[in-house]
Amino acid sequence: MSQTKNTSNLLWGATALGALGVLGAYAAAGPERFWANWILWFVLLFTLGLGSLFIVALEHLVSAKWSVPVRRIPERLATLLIPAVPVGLIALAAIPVLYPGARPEAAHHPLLAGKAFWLSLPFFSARTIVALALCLLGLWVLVGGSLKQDATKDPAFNFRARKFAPAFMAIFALVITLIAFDWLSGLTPEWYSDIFGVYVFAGAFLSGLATTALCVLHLQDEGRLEGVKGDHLYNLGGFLFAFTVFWSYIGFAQYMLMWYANLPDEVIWYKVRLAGSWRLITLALAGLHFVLPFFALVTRDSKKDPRRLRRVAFLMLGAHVLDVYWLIFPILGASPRFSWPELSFALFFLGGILLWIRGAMQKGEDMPVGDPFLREGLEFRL
Amino acid sequence: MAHDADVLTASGIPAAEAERYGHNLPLIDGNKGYHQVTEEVFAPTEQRPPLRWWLALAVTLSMLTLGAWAVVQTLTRGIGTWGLNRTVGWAFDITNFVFWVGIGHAGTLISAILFLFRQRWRTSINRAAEAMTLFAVMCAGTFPIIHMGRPWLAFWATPYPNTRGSLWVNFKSPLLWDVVAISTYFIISLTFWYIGLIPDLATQRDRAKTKLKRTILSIFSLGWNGSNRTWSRYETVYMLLAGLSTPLVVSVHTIVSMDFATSVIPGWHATIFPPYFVVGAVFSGFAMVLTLMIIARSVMGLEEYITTRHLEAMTKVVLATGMIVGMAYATEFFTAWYSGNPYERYVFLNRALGPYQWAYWTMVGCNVLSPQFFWFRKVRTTPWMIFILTIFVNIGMWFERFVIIVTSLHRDYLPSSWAMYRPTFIEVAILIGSFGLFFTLFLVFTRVLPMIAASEVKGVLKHVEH
Repeated sequence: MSQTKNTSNLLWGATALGALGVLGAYAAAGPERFWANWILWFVLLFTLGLGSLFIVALEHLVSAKWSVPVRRIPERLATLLIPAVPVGLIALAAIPVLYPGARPEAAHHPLLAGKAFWLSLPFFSARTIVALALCLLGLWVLVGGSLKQDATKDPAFNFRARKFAPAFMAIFALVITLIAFDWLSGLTPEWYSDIFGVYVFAGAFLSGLATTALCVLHLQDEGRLEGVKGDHLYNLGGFLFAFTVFWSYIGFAQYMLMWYANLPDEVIWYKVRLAGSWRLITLALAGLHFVLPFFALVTRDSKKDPRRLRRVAFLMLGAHVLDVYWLIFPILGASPRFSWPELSFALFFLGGILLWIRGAMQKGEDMPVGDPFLREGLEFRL
Repeated sequence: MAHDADVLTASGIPAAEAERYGHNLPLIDGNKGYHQVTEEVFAPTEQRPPLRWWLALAVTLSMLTLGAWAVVQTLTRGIGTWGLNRTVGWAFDITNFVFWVGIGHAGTLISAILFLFRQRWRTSINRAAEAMTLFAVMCAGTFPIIHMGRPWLAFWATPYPNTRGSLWVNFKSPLLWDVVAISTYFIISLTFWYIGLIPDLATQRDRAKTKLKRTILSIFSLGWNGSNRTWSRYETVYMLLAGLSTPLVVSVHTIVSMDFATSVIPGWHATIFPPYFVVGAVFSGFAMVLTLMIIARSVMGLEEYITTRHLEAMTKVVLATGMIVGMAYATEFFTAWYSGNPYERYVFLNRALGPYQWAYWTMVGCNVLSPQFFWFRKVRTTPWMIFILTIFVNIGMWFERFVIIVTSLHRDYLPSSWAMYRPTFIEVAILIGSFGLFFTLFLVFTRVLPMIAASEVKGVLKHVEH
């Protein structure tokens, strides 16, 4: 018990220290760097929450049974969308600073004039607010309903969730595409790539999967989630493997087609990322987000082994952070920025996210005990 | 395994409603035993074909003959018999090529990806769907070969040291990647299909009445004896092949999409093309499987094997992929506007409002609107409605490729070279011929080999599940 308390104090301490650094960063490092960091963590928080909600919705959509015993984990992680709302609303203040399309001079820019209204502060903000509201709606129906089912044991929730899941998928596709286009590719509004939403989706799903796997393994260490076996872990590992490959496929498709066509308005985005030190980060991303996890998970045994799965899940999360960093930070200059402001932001947000997850892991039962398919899920064998 | 249904019943939900809460019903109707499955599945291969089969064959062979005549016309008189011109150098035949490759995606997706996802409803349909894949890839392959003009030199497309000086293929060309991707896909799909057939070929061998038939089937069933060891090795090989086929399913249409997307032609150069083509291929492939299966199950009396539950599962795949295709259309349109590139913008406006707008709106209507009916359970479980809607999807997906290819080419950067394209009778005849080839092969298949994987279906019978 005291260990739990110690961890909790440590996390609060880290968050508080990070908060000081974050305030200091605004004063000392300048607004551009401050907001770049803020957006990095907004996107990370948002993709983790929405990626987790996607896992929940996917289960209802296809009536998967194997994942019922672990469903509570992504449900709890999806509640991160709640703190993502204030973080996202504060991020709106970054729009005039970091997003060239929202500045008044965009109306006279030859490439931006035609879409100045789309990129303008009011419309940009409105889209983000609608996107966040839609996420909360999904959270309320899918996660709120499931938590209530613990007590009521009413299978009507399964019926409702099955009906709602396809609609949620449509909402999800719209929201993730908007967030990707607005917050990430909007940093360089002259650049465009129609696959970009799919790319961000792949990262979001992976971050949700990796965190789910880590939380499942952690709760198992605590002696919770009794009945979840190697077979369930295998499926989580299988999904991680499949979507690592999917992310790489999408990333490669975008890169290869732009490289092959060699059009100035497209390659500029990669030109920055393949120059100087960014080149190393690009290569590291390919290695950490694809090559390493691919070989780590390709064998059957590695997906069942908790130790390996934990390592790969950590690796995937780290690679996802690097990916979003790689999408945002090149706007700050030719050399990658990483020192105390970035560390402070990491302390603040990681501490906060971990505190939230710790709290969320106490919410409701560890498994959806009111779900009629829980027993079938526990009996799942490969 | 029936626990969940018990829980649902205890909560006051009638058994008939359980499915709507996510309960899986048994896959095969009619409470069949093993022997009955064998008798029913192998019967068509052991009896004389009925008259209507001969009539159907006569029709498809006539279509094939028409196509063969048109191919001879093309080869003897030249590509000038087609409606191509200097501006539109790719049109009808490449549309047909992409269309058929797309149709060829459902089979291996069903047998490989659904296998890896442990979707057991695949067992009733995988054999026929894989056969369709092979036939569709054969149809697809003929088009680029005819388009070469001198098909007897088609082997020049393979890279090997030769006596033609330093004449090598261009490894940087996506067209060469196509040759590699499609031939690999065909070989692996054929292998996968054949491996899956072996246990059933052995059954057919054991049931064969004539010596010749038994000898042939003995050779092809590779001495299958049904022992535990044989089964265990067989299942390992099957799973490995499923794993190997999965990237192939994705790679083929990815590379087909790169035939277009690596260029700098507005409307072709789009980064979303690879996943969008793959999803579109799955969409069209499943639609074709449904179209054909609905006919086959009713003509051959297989309603208890290919049940409305199978049809419903497939319509859901059609709906999901149709929604993704619609999303891709919207993203393409949006990005064309967002790019600020006047050529991109013009191509998309020209698609929707230009001289080929009828083709564009046919595509949108068939691919985006018609699958929406599948939101209704009643439509998903009524075979004739599915039949009509999947025909629309087939038409729509053909037009999608036509729209992409022709509208991007016919008005290029230089207005003085703008032109229209209209197919000639010869080109239409070749398309009809390819359908003739496809259906002829399918008809022969239904009479020569068991259309349903009997050995796999036996694993999902109701009493096995309990």
